[in-house]
Amino acid sequence: MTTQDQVLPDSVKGRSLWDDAFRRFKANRAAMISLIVLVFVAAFAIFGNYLTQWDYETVDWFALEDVEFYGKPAMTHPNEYAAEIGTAPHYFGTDSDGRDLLARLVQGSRISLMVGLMGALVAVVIGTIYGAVSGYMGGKVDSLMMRAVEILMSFPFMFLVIVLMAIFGRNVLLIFIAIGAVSWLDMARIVRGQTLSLKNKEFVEAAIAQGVRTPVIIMRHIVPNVLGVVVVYATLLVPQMILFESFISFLGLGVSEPQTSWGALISAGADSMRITPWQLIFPLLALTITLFCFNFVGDGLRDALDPKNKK
Amino acid sequence: MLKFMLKRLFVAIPTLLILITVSFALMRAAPGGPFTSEKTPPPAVLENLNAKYNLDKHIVVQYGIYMRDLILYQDFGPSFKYQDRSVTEIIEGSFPRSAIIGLWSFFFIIIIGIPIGIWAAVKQNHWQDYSVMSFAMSGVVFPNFVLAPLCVWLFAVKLGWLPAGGWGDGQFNYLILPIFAMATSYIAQVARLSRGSMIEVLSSSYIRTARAKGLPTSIVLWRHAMKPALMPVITYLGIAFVGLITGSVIVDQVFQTGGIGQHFVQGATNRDYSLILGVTILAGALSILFNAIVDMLYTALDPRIRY
Repeated sequence: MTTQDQVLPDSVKGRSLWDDAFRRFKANRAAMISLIVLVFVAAFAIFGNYLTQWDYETVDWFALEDVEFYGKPAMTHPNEYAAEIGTAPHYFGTDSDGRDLLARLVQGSRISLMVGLMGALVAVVIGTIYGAVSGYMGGKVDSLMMRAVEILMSFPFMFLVIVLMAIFGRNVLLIFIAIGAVSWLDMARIVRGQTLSLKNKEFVEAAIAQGVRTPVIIMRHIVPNVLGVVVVYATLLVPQMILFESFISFLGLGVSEPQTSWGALISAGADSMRITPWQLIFPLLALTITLFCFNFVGDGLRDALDPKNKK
Repeated sequence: MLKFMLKRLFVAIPTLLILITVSFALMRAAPGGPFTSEKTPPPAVLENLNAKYNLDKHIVVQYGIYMRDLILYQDFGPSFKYQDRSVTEIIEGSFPRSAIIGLWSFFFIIIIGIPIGIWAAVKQNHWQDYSVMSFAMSGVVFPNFVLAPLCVWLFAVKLGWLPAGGWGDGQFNYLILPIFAMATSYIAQVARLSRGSMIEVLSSSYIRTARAKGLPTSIVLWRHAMKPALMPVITYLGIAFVGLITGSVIVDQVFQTGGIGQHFVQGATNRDYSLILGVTILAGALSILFNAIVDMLYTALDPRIRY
C-alpha cells in the first residue's frame, strides 16, 4: 500500500494526449463549425438525391428546348406547359444538356469527396511512413528510396493513365489508382525533410540510448512529431486531388458521362459562364465551402495535436 | 559540399536510365500508335512511315537505337507528330518560354506566399489570420482552367488592358496573365505551409526562452524561428519549382504561350514517343537536380543534418 493509492481515488482519471487533443479541438470554434458543415456536405452527397425527383442522367426535354431560359434555377418549372402537366422543377437549374443540376451535383459530390479523401488518406499513410523511414534510416536506404520518388515524380503520368484505361476501361477505380500513385510523393519528400532534422534531437537520442527498437522510434517518436505538417499538407491535398481528378476529366480520361464530378461540372460550367452562370456557381460553391471547411478543420487538428499547445 | 554534389551527379545517371527504360516500356504498352490516330494512312505509306521511324523493328532493337542516339550523339530523335522538327528543336523552342513564366511565378510565390504565411502565424486565430488565409485559399479554390479563361475575358476582352494571349517576344505585358494563372494556387499553398510550420516553431521551448530573455519579436522571428520553420516550405518549393518551369498545359492552351507544358499532354495523346521521352528526361533531370539542391539547403537551415 503506497501513499499514492490513498491520495488518488479511483474516480480520478489521467488525461491522455488524445483526450487533451479532443478537448482542444472542441474548444476551437472555427474548426467545430467547419466540421458540422462538412457533415452536412457529406449528408448532401449521400442523401441529396431525395431532394429532387430528377436523377442525374434523365434529360428534361422542356428545359433542353431553351436552357438559357427554361433551365434556370426555379421553385416551379419555368416552362408553363411543363409546370401544368406536373413536371418537377429544377431547384439548381439544369446543365447544358437539360439534366437536373442538383441531382448531378449530388452525384458529383460523391465522386469528388471520395477522390479527395482517398488521395489524402493514401498520402498521409504511405507518404508519412515512407518519408519517415527514408529520413530516419538515412544513407543508402534514404538514397534508394528518394531516387524511387524522383523517378515516379517525373514519370510520363499521362501514359500511366492511358495504360490503366486500356486495362480497366473508363471507370472510377482508374482515377483512384492514378491519384493514389501520385498523391503521396510530395508528402514523402516533406516528411523526410522534417525527419532529417528531428532525428538529431535529444528525445530521439534518449530513445536510442534506452535501446528502443528502430521501428518503434519511427512510429512512436518521429511520426507524431511530423503530424503537424502532415495535417496541414493533407488539407492542401484534398482540393489538389479534387482538382486533379477534374484535370484528368478535362483531358477526357476521368469519370465518364453521364457520371460527373465537381471538377467536370465546374469545367463545363466555365465554358458557358456568361450565358448560364448557375452551372458554374453551384458546383464552385460546393467546392469552395468544402475546401474552406477542410482547411479550418485541418488547422484545428494541427493545433489540437500539438502537444506543446497548453491551452 | 562538392563531394556531396558529385555523388548525387553520379547517382543521377542510373536514376535517369531507369526512368527512361520504364517510361519507354510503359509508352509501348499503351494501345495505339503515332500514325493510327485521326486519319490512318494507306497501308503502303504506313509501312514506309514505320520503317522510317524504326517502328517495324523489335521493341528491344528500337530501345537500343534510341539509347545509342541519346548517349552517343545526345540526339532525342525526330518528333513523330511535327515531322519536320526534331525533339531537341521543339524543346529548345518551348522550354525557355515556360522557364521564364515559371521563374517569374516562383519569384512572386516567394515574396508573397512566405510573408503572408508568417504574418498569419504570428496573428494566429485573429481576424488577420482568418482574412489572409481566406484570401489565399480563394486562389486554390479557383482551378486554373476556370481562372485562366476568366482572366482572358476580364482583362483582355472586357477591359482591354492586356493582350489575350501569344508570346509577343516575351514582353512583360504578355506574361502577366500566364504568371498570375500559374502562381495563385502555389501562393496559397506556400502561405499555408509557412503558417502551419511557423506556428509549430513559435510554440517550442527555445523560442519561449528567447522571448523570456526580452528579445524583440522581429529578432525572435528572423533569427530564431525562420530557419526551422522554412524546412517543409523549402521541400515544397523544390518540387514546385520543377513543376513551374516545366509549364502547364492549361496555361499553354489558354494563353497560347507556346510553352513546354502542352507537350506533356499532347505528346501522350499523339503517341509522340520521342517527344514524350524528351520532355520526361528533361523533367527527370530537373527534378533530380532540384531535390539535390533542396537537400543541400537543409544542411544550411539545420547544421545538425549530415548525410
